[in-house]
Formats: sequence, structure tokens, C-alpha cells
Amino acid sequence: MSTRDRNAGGTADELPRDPLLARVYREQADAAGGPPPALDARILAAARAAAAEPRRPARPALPWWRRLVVPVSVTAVVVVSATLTLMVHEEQEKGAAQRDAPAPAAAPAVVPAPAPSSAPAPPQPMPAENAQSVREAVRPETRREQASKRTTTGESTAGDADLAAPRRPAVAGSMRGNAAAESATAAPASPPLPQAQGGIADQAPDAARIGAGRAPVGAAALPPASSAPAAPAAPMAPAPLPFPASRAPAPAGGAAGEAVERRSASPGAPAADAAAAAPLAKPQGGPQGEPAQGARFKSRANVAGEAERSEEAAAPLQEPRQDALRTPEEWIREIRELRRAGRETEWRAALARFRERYPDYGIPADLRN
Amino acid sequence: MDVERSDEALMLAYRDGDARAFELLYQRHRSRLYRWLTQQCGSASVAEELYQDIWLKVINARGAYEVSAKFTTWLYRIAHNRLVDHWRTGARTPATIVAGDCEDEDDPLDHVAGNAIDEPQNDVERKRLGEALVRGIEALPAPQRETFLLAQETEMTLEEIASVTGVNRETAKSRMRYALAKLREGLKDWR
Repeated sequence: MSTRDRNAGGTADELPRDPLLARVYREQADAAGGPPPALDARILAAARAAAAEPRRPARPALPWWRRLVVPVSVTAVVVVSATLTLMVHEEQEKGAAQRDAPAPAAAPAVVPAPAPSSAPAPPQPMPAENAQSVREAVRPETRREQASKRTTTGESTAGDADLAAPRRPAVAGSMRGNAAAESATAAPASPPLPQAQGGIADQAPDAARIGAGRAPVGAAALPPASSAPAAPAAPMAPAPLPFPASRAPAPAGGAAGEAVERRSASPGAPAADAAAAAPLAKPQGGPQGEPAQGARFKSRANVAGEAERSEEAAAPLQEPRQDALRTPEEWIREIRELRRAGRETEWRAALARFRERYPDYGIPADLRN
Repeated sequence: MDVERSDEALMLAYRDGDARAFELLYQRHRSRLYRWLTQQCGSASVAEELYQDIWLKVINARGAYEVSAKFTTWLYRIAHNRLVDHWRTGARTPATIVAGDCEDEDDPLDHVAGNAIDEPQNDVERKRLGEALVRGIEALPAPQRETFLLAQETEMTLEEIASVTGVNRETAKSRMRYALAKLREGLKDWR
């Protein structure tokens, strides 16, 4: 019998087979037998045990969208969480930057001394672009009238506070409506919009420049210059300094405003203060009132130039700067030493300056007479 | 009645909790599967271990069983995968597993003499021929041996064998041709 007689090679679709080999294999396999009975018993026992278990109902096939619910939900939660985390982080960074930004501005802010009411406030040339924008925004005459009205009545508006608080004017101004608009026009030199539009990085330099040039002391503690009674004479005259930065600033338009009035009413302004006011409003010729108003419309560029000019005038500022940097206790101690040394004129002048600077500070009894 | 039921029907019955159906199914396939494994492994102990594992897999997979193919194909696919796992553990060298896949060569059966093997004349010769065949099967490369044993122990078609072994039809056919050629060559001088 041939091994290739039938289907040996197989057709294209059939499995090659060899009947003789298959038969021999079958005979050999039958003799080999099957698995041991013990193995059969174990398997059958396992099968019966499995069949005896209560059959869990087969879960119906879920639609495709049900299968994606969990991963999509998890992904959404992760994305939202990450986004919120980033947003909070950015807000915190912004907040920290805003808190830090006034620091360089506040440091020089305490440096210049307040301008005396009698000191002339020379005009500051306003750049053409700023002047144009200001003219478009508001008529100065109207603003002056409103400012003088508020000054005479002792009224202080939120816009006034904005003048002295250049840090958050964008948001605050939008919330305050007309008052903010007034403040923006009445004090364009205060940088509400540029700060709001510019990044945090350029806020500090601007604030430093502004502080060096104009001394918006203690941010919100300062009343607007326009609210001072002697606005025409010294519109840029800064308010009396509150206690050093460690002390809580007086509310805008409150005690600080009163301090301005008191200082403005004081007849004898120290020469040092006058010198300090000089760089703030350099005489450029022209009437006193108009230049003073013009000086208030300083832009950033103008402020930068002013900062450079203020460096030139740094020397006259030394004494007021020392006054500002000293603590009241130190100052009082120095006054006592002057008095003890018999320098009558000097200690009285120093005491007068001290009273102007710290009107609310209790003068020791030994210096009152 | 149960004898007439197909393997698939019995498996579905077992899936639904009929333990008797599994016993019938087991009786149908126990010897074939065991022999197939014994021939593949060359060791009764290893074959028993694999055999038990395979049936336990069948038992555990009953809940998800659906009639997508013949039960035999499904059973031997499980067995093939378990055997491959066994081979991968180092029981056999990979060279042994993959050797013999030479599809580009000529038909190996053409090189085998057509009347090389004669019918055994008595039981002694038949037994000697059987023993020679077993030795020849053990000497085959694993894929060819697996294909040959599947063809002998089951009545699978070429497609089913290809499906079980995870190759295409031509590869399965080639393996079978090589296996037959080598076995014939080995049994040529069995006397």
C-alpha cells in the first residue's frame, strides 16, 4: 500500500494526510490510553463545584458611551483640578507681586518731604500725547472746580482715594464708576491704567519712579493733592507722612486729609520742606495754578524724566529724608539733645517739623514749653 | 440523547449549570487531549499538569463561553496557549519551537519515495512501526509535531489548525507537509 495513494499531498484547500501513518498512529494512541483516573476525578470535581456555585448573572453589554463614562469623568476631573490649581497659583503670584510692587514705591515714597503750602508749584510740562488724551478725556477746568469744591467742603471721594492708591485702580475704578473716572482724569500721573495693562514686572519700576518723583506716600494713606486747600499754590504738595511703615496708615481722606489741612494752614513751612517740594514741581515759568495742574497730568515717560531730575535734587532732600527715616522716638531724642545742647532755634525748628510730620504724636511734656 | 448533543451545546449547558454536560464533554475529549499533550511534552507528569490546567481554564471560562467557533478549536487553542507558556518557561528551546517553517522550499513530500512504507504484516511489525512512528513524532520540530498531532487527534480542517496554532493556512499546510515527509523518511527503513 502506498503512503501517497490518497490525499497525500493534499489539494490546495485540504490538509495533507497520510492514511497509513494515521492508522498506525491511531493504533499506537489507542494503546497509550488516557489520563489517570485520579486526574479525571479532580477535574470533574472541580467542574461540579464550579457548576454548583450560583451563577452570576451575565452583565449586559454596556454601550460604548457607558464604557467611556469613567475615563472621561476622571480626565475631566483631572483637567479641571489642574486648571483650578494653576489659576489659584497664578492669582497668588499676582497677589504677591501686587503686594511686593508697592514696596519699592513706598520706600522712596517716604523720602521726599511735603511741600509747603507757600512754596510755588512750578509747572511741569505735559507731553503732547498725554495732554491730548487728557483734553479728550476731561476738561481740566471742570475738574479743578470739582476738586476745589471737594477741598473746601472736606469731602473726599473714592476717586480721591484712587489718586493716592495707584495700586488697584483698574478694578476699583471700574467699580466706582464716575468717581473713578474723575480720579483717572484728575490724576493721570497716578498709573492706574498703565499698571493694570502692563505686566507686574513693569509696575515696580514705574512705582519707584513715581515714588521718587512725586511721593505718593503710603499709597492709600495719602489724600489727593487736589483736595488740599492750597491746591493752586501747591497742588503737588504731598500729604504729611504718617508714622513709619510699621504703623497703620490713616484712612484716605480721613486723618491724612486733616493733616494736609493742618500743614497747609501752618504758617511757617520749613525750608527743607520747600526744598523737598522743589524737585516735585520745578518752575518752568507760567502761572502757579496752571503749571501745577499740568504737573498732575504726568505720564509714565514724564515720571521717568522726573525721576532723573529728582536725583539731581536729591541733596536738598537729605534732611527730610532723614526725618522720614527716623522713628518718632529717635527724632524726639535728637530734639532733646539739641535742647540740652542749648541750640534753641534748632530744636524748636526740629520740633516744629516733627509736629508737622507727626501731628498725632504726643509731644513729651519736657518739649512742650 | 446527550450523546447526540454537540460539544458546543454541552458547553453551553455546562455554562448554565449542568455539570453532567461537562462530564460528557470531558469524556469525549479527555483521551485525545491527553495524548496530544503527552506527545508534545514527552513527559507524562508535565502532560498531566498541563492537562489539568487546560481543563481548569475551560471550567473557569464557562461563564464567558459563546459559540463563536467549534468547541474543539476553542479547547485546543487553550491547550496551545498553555503549551506555548510551558515552552516559554524553558522546557523547550525556542529553536525547537520555530524550527521547520520553510515555506519557500519545494514540497518536501516530493522528495520522499512513494512506496517506502509497506503495510505491517503482523502485530509485531505493527507494534514496531507504531513505536518508530512515536519516535519520529518526538523528533519533529514542535510546530510540525503540533500540527501533525492536531491533524491526527482531532478532525480539524486546515483553517481550524491554523486558527489554533495562530498561523495562516499556508504555514499550517507547510508544517504538515514537512511533518509527513520527515515521518515517512524516518519510517522508510523501519524493518
